[in-house]
Amino acid sequence: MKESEFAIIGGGPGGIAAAIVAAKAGVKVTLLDENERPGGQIYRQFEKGYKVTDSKVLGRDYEKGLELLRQFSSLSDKIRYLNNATVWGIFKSRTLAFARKGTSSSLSFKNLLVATGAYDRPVPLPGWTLPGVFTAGGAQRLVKTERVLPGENILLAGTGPLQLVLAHQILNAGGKIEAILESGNISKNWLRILMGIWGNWDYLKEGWRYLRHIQKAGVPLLRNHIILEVHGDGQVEEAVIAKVDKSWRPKPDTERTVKVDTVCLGYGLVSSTELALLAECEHKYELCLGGYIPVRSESMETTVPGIYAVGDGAGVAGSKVAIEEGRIAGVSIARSLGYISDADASTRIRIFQKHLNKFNRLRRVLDEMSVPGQGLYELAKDDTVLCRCEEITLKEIKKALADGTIQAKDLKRMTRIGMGACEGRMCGPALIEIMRYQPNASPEGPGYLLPRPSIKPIALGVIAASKQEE
Amino acid sequence: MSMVEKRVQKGVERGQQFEIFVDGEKILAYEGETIGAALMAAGRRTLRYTNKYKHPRGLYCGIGLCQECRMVINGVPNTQACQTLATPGCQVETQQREKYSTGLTG
Amino acid sequence: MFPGEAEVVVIGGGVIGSSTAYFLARAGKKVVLVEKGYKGGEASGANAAFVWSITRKPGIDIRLAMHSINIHRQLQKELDRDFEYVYNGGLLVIEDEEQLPFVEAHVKARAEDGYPLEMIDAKQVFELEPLLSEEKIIGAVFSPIDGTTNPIFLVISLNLQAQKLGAKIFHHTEAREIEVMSGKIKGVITDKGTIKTNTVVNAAGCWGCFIGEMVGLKVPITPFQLAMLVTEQLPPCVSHPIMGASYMVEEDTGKEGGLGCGLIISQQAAGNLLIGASWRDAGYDKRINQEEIELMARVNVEAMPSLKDVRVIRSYANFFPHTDDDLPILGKVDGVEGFIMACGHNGHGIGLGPGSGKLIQELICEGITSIPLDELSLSRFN
Repeated sequence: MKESEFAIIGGGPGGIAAAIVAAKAGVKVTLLDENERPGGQIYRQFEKGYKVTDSKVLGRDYEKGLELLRQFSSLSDKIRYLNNATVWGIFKSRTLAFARKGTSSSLSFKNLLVATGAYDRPVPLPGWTLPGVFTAGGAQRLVKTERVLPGENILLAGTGPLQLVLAHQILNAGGKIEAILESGNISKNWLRILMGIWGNWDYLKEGWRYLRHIQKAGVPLLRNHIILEVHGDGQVEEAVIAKVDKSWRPKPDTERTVKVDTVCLGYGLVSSTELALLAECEHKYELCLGGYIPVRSESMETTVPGIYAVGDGAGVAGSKVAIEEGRIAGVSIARSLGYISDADASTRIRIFQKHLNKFNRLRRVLDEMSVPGQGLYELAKDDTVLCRCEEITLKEIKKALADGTIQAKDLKRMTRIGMGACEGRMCGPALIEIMRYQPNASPEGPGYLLPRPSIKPIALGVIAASKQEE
Repeated sequence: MSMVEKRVQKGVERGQQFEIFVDGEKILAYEGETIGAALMAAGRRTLRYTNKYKHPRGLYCGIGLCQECRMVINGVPNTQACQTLATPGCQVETQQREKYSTGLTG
Repeated sequence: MFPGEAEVVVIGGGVIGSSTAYFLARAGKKVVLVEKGYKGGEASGANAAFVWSITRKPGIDIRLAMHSINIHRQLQKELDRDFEYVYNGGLLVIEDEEQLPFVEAHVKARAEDGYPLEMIDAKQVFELEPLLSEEKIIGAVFSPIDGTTNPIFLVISLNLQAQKLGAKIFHHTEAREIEVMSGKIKGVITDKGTIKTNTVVNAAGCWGCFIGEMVGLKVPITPFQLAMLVTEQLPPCVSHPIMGASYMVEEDTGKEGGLGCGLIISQQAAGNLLIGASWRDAGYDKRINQEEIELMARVNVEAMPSLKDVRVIRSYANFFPHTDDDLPILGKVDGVEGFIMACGHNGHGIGLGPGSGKLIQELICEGITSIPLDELSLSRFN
């Protein structure tokens, strides 16, 4: 089997940045992207059929992304770009399996970069499964690249600056927002800083404009507030909100009900670590960075030699950090393959590292403030479904916990939580948080739901139509 | 739900307009639009009913991970509406275990 | 409180250990079960979920299987928690003419032993399972008593009921040493404490050889990997456990260290299809390789072409305890009084486990078993 000297999984900012620097150094790069076109979630491009008439209204990250993407496509003779490629397994023989165009192929690699990004932190609360409840990312995708509003009267609930970005986009698209709830104890000033240091770096200048926009539109921004429940017959009709204390626990007698038809939940992001876990990279637990994340060296190498991880998939920090990390990984790999000298690599890494350090200083501030309060994981009631696929309620989980189950992987076997089609992505992060606070919690922590191939649902016919070489 | 226009015209022009069928009913869709988005634009929020409690579920994560938008699309069950582009005349059914056969034929 | 003593200590919390503990507790014995991991965490929680008799050989093998099927049905009535045991009959499908002589020889031998099997033609097969490929299947062996279960729920149910009857069950508790004095069992030393006892049941599956070593016995059990795929949930579409007849053909079983794969399809109560299975000698390694997954997909899609649109959501592998004659090791051993073997079920642990547990209980409580265990004793390997 032909071996790729450098395979990248993920076509977001981190993967693209790594591909660009490595390809420029002469490395033969293969990039596997699950999407039709490069850009990931943040720089997601429009589908064929849409014509952009005014890129300004699509936001500056869209324009900024186009620039990086142009660089990427100018290297198309040096980078083998495989779109619509879903990586469904990594195997100990240093090969990965991916589905593409109705068949499955395998690719063996010398070096691998996992740049799989992140997704919205799922937060189970009563009514969160009703149609009309979206993740902030899901709503953003609808508004940004489908240009469809998720509903008529929208409540945004969560924490962090991504909410403000979403609010701006909804308002800009002509949508109506009932209120924005910020659970964190964040002052106006903090919000402005946060706007900048989150991945959407360009919003630093625009941050104030967004806040103004939200204010001018008359949308209340309610700090220290949380959404407790969503009600409705068949779909969202109202939400119960309340003021919270520092631990995000509701203050007595502050509950009230708001009439809305749409709720967007945006409590930050969690890393997509399925592939890094499958590759047996060691992980550590960092709640504010997105849960279990791979342990990495300064060159972004994981504990498995030759396997690197960058971007939100290795600790949520936004696109700017992803780009610098991607560049460091790209240069490190070019050095390890002998394409550039140690001295050259060190010089370049120092520059990227300098940028990264600057971001990291601010990132620590962000981390402290974006940590979900403990109250967030106390919203679910006994009959609240934690596992959307298998419809496993909190009550069932509590029963298994009381029975002495202390590890997440065992809880899965006992209750079927995490055994559904999302493969534990929507229940895993909350399950870990709930288990961490159990009186009989194991000191080593509950561990995680072990991903197993195929890490995304893949049709048997696709796997059966496997090709030996790609 | 009232039929306030949910498609945003600002900043983009859409391609070809066509009809798709949802549980036998015609709705509009555009080239490049996912079935999930076309359904949201039409105010049709329930995409499937769950197996155990028969609860309605709608579009949730929108990026292909949560699997809540699984529908029977052109006869194939468990197809993700948020990841499938609408095509002229495509047949979409609300997924409900009691109402669809496996879609499998011998 | 960790118990200082017990009448019986069962080592291993899989289906065999849990059945043994349940039947002992039901018989009023003071029993303690220790498990190094968690309920059904090894082979008992990752298998084909068959409660099956078709491929059991004449003699002790089929007798044990029939006995165990009866025990399964008894448990279904006795245990509080349902474990999704369904028996509509099982199918061993014949995929090509070459398999026919092996199948016919087996059917003949079973009939001579008094356990006849029914051969059905392709038309009858498609009436039972319309999704099977008409081009691929030429006939089948049908057994009306076979079915599927939920192995994890079975283990959980046995555990809960055993506890209710007074059994003490300790997970994440590892047996480290077994105390023997003058050829008699005196106790079990675990990482949580020492339990004084005169009777130890070795129900440690693939680890049964290490438990045997603790009392100076050579237990010829080796791990053999079995891998399966799980699909997402579908409406009812497969109503029988289906196995390919390649399992009857020695050459196809892959036991020489290479990769083997045979058709296995069944549907669980929740709607997921369990698709398998591939075998290889991988030592104590549970990781599945890509070839195994692809082979399973190919073999099963060929036999049931409409599976091509059904999505796989995970795979699992485990190793089953292999013995050279494919039979479990059950009963007392020479030279160590109070040490009882109950492992080596060769991938048939779910089918044979509950019956084995009942026999071990009979052996301990009454000294005599409803099926003689002589042929299954460890000494047969000497």
